Amino acid sequence: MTAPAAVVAGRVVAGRVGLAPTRDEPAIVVRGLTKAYGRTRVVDALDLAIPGAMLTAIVGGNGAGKSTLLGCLAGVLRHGGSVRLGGPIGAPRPGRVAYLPQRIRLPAGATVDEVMRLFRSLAGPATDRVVPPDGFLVAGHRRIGELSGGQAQRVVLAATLLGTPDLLLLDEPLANLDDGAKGVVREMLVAHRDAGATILVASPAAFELLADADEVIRIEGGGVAFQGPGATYLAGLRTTVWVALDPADDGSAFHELAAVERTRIVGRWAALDCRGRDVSAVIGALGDRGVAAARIRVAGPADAAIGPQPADGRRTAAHEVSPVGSPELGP
Amino acid sequence: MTALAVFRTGTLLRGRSTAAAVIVFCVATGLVTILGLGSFRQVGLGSVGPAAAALINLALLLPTAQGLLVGAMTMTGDRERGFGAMLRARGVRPAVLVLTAWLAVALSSWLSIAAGFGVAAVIVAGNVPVDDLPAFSAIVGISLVAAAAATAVGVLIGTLASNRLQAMLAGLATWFALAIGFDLIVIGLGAFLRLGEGAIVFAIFADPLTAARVAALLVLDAGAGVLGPTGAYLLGRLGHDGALVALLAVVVTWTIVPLVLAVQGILRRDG
Repeated sequence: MTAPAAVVAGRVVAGRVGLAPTRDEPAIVVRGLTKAYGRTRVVDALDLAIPGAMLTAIVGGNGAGKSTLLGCLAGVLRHGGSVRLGGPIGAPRPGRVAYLPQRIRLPAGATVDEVMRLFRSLAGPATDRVVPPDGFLVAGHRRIGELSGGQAQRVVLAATLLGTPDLLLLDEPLANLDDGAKGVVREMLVAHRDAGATILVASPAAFELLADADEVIRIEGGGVAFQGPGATYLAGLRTTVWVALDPADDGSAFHELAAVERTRIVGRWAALDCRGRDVSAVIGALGDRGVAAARIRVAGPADAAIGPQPADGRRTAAHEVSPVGSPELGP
Repeated sequence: MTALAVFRTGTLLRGRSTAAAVIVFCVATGLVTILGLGSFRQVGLGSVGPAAAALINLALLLPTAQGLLVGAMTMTGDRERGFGAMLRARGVRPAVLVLTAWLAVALSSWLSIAAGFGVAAVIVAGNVPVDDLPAFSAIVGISLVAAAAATAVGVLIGTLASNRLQAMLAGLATWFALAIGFDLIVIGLGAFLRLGEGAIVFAIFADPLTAARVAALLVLDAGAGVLGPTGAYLLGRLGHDGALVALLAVVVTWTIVPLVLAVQGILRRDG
C-alpha cells in the first residue's frame, strides 16, 4: 500500500515517508490541474496518475502544456487542482526532487566546479547515484558564460542528476546536446530509473526517448491525449516506407496498398505513409507485389501523426513531386 | 544556505558590475577627499565640513544605487533564467533565496564602501586628528547599513518585477525617489502646505537614505541648521542619542520589511 500524502489544492504537499512507489501504484496523482497565464488556459482540468519507478516521456506540440505540467509538479508554478506525491517522493528529504526547467541559464560568472559544488550540497548527504563519465563536462575552472550551448547544457544536466533524487522532472534535457552526450544522458536516466527514481521527461518529440521510456503521455490542448506504453505510442505514429521505383514504374500501383494513408512520389522514390503498427503489413504487401527488400527503406516515426486517423483509413496525394527529385532524399 | 550564499557571493564579487562599482566609488571618494583636503585639515572628520558632507552624500548615493539595482536584477534574473525554480525544486526555501541574494549583493556594495573609504582614509591619514577615527568609523557603519537597506529594497523590487528591464527601471526610479525625489517633494510641499509634525515624522520613516544621512550628520555633531527640518525635529524631541537610535531603527526596518515582503512575493508568484 502506498503511503498516503496530504493534498492541498494548488500546492504540492509532501506525503509520509514510507513505502517506495511501484510500477503498479501511482507515484504522482494529479486531479483537476488547471493553470492559466493571463487569460490563456494552458492546462485545463488535467487528471493524471503517473506510476512510480518508471521513465515517462511527456510529449506534445509547442504550447501543449508540457513545461507547465512539469513546473506544477516541481512546485514552482501556482495552479488550481491538486498534485499528490506519494511514497519517498512525498517525503520532506533534501534533494528528493530534481527539476530541470526548459529555459535554464546558469549564472554566467560561475565556474563549472562552483555549480557542481552548489548542487552537490543541495542534493543531500547521500552518495551520487550516477556519475557522468570523464570528458562529459568541460574543465571545472571554466566559467559558464564561456561555454557553448551544448557544454552548458551538459553542466546543467550533470548538476541536476546529482544525488539520489526520487523524482526527476526534466524539460527537454537533450536539447543542444550532440549524439554522444544524448547517449550518456539516456544511460544516466536509465540508471536513476533502475534505482527506483520516477522520471518525467518532456520533449516535443518522443523518438529520442522511446527506446528507454516505459510510458508515454501525450499532452494536447492542456489535457492528456494519450497515456500508455511506449510501444503502443510508437505503433500509432506515422512512419514512412520508401520504395525505390523502377524506371518504368510511376508508383501509382502503391495507392491501393492496405494501411497506406498517403502516397507521395519524391524523385525516383515512392513515399508510403502509414502507422508504425502497419509497417510490416505494408512491407509484406510490397513483397507480394514483387518489390525486392533491397528497394525498401523505413523512416520515422513522426510524432505529429498521433491525431485522429482519416475516416476512410487512407489518404492519397499521388505524385507530389519534390522540387529536388533526388533519390537520396527519401531514405 | 551557506553553499548558496557562497555561490552567489563568489559569482557576484567576480562580476563586472561589482568591479565597476568599486572603481567608480573609489575614484569618486578619492577625488572628493583630495579636493576637500583643506577642509579636512581645518575641521577634521569629526565635524561637519564641505568635504565630510560630500563624502557622506557619496557613500549614501553610489553604493546604495549599486545595491538597489544589482539586488533587483539578481532576483529577476533568477526567475527569468529558471535558476530560482531549479533551486526551489531542490528544496531551497524562498527565504533562503531572498536572504542569500541580499547577502551577496550587500557584500558587493559593502566592498565598494570599504574600498572607497579605504582610499579616503589613506589620503586623509596624517591630515586629521586620530580622535576623529570613531566618527569616521561610525560614518562607514551607517553607510553599510544604508547600503543593506537599499539592497533589501532592490531585492523586493526584483521579486515583483516581471523581467530584468522592468526591474532595472523600477530600481532606478526608486533610487532616484529615495535619494533625491523624496527630499524635493517634502521640501516643496512643506513650503506650500505647511505640513505639520506628522508629515515630518512620515518623511523620516518613509526614506531610509534620508534617515541614514541625518544619522551620519548627527554623528558629526551637526547642529539643527545642517540637519534640516526632519533632523532638527528629531534632535529636539529625542536628543542626540535618541535621534540616532531612532534613525538607525528606521534604516534597519527598511532592511527587514522589504526582505519579508520579498519572501511573500516569491510565494505568491510563479517561478
